[in-house]
Amino acid sequence: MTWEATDASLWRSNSQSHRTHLTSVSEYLTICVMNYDAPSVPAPPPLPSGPIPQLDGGRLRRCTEAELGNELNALVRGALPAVGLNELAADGSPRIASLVAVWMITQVAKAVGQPRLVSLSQVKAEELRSIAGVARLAYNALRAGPAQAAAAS
Amino acid sequence: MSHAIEPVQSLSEAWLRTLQYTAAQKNGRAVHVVATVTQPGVEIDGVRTTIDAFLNEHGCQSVETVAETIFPASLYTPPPFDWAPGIAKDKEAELDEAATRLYDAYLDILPLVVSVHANRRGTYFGRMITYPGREVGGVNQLDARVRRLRSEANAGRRTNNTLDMDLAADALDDSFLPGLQEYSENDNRTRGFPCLTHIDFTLHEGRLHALAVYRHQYLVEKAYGNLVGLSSLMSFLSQQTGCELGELAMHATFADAQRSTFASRDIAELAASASLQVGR
Repeated sequence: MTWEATDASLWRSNSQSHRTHLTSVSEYLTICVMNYDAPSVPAPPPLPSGPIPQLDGGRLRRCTEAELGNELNALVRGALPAVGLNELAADGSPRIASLVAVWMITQVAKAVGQPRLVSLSQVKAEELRSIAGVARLAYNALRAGPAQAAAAS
Repeated sequence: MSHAIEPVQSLSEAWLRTLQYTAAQKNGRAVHVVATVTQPGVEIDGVRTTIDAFLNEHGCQSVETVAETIFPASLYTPPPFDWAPGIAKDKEAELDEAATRLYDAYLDILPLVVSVHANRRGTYFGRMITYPGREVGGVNQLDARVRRLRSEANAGRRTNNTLDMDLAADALDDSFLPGLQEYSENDNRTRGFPCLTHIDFTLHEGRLHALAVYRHQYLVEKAYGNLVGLSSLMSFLSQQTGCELGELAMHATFADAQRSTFASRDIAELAASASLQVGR
């Protein structure tokens, strides 16, 4: 049996005060297990310093779909450094949690001044699984314009 | 009849044993099933992958998506240290900043999230940080508990059983902090959100323990993600307050192996596949 740690236990492992706890044997009855090796866990990324990066609405409107993807990639790396972008989705771009996708859509919507840029209820789940998927979604919504976006919401 | 699953270290085993027990009951349902994880956040390699493959095949939300309804770990960048009594002001400010960024990021997305019909009553994390959860400006129950637990530590108190009082109306009373309230006292609906009605915290000898009460626990679609999300929530509170991570108990007042949603054979195969991972 091998163990893996969720993000939650990774945070804990980086705390000196909790290393003992995580490497100790539980006081409760358990099956025989190998404990998680806390000291080998890499340190988490540093907190972003200064203000959270902002998107430029004017520039976003001029972006191609690929450029929009680059903007979103940089935004996530700057504002949410704990989000790992190493795993790739089926479309070849970084895989993301759907919550991060929703956050990115919100940032684009704020930047261009269209709170209802995207109607989430009309979005397919697959589009929220990668940066390229969100870029495509945002690009199409920006091309559709405010009137269509409002009508769709 | 109530049933306590034997406490286990990993959430993977807790989920598997709860599913196996419940699936073996009449109609795949049971009342008052309690599972306990002694090391919240720890998973057994391969189990989540197995469940995710099953969920994806059946068009359900992934474990991660379910988990982030309880604690949006993607939006939290944890500093590499914990809060402690007497911590330097700049370090404390860094922890506060990390928490504030989490709250702000979630409040940013909340209007879009609740625009989806399924979320029209709010979300779990929304209820934690802006109760009753649909709009910005509500009560931040989570921040109140961080402040209270820090205050307890500063006062040298390592045990506090007032945190575990379970009275709905008191959830909003700043002077008295029971568990996180997820259920509105004027909510008379019998189905749907919220299945998680209450999260109870107990500080005992410096360790923070949690009990989550579910009125209907969907063991195939939701339970694993729920355990991951609750573990992340505990980790957040633990880091922000300097408490050691205690145990996580999940009480399903009605546990459901979901035979009406999935074929019994499929559920059995899922449990068998996960069991293989656990047994490795």
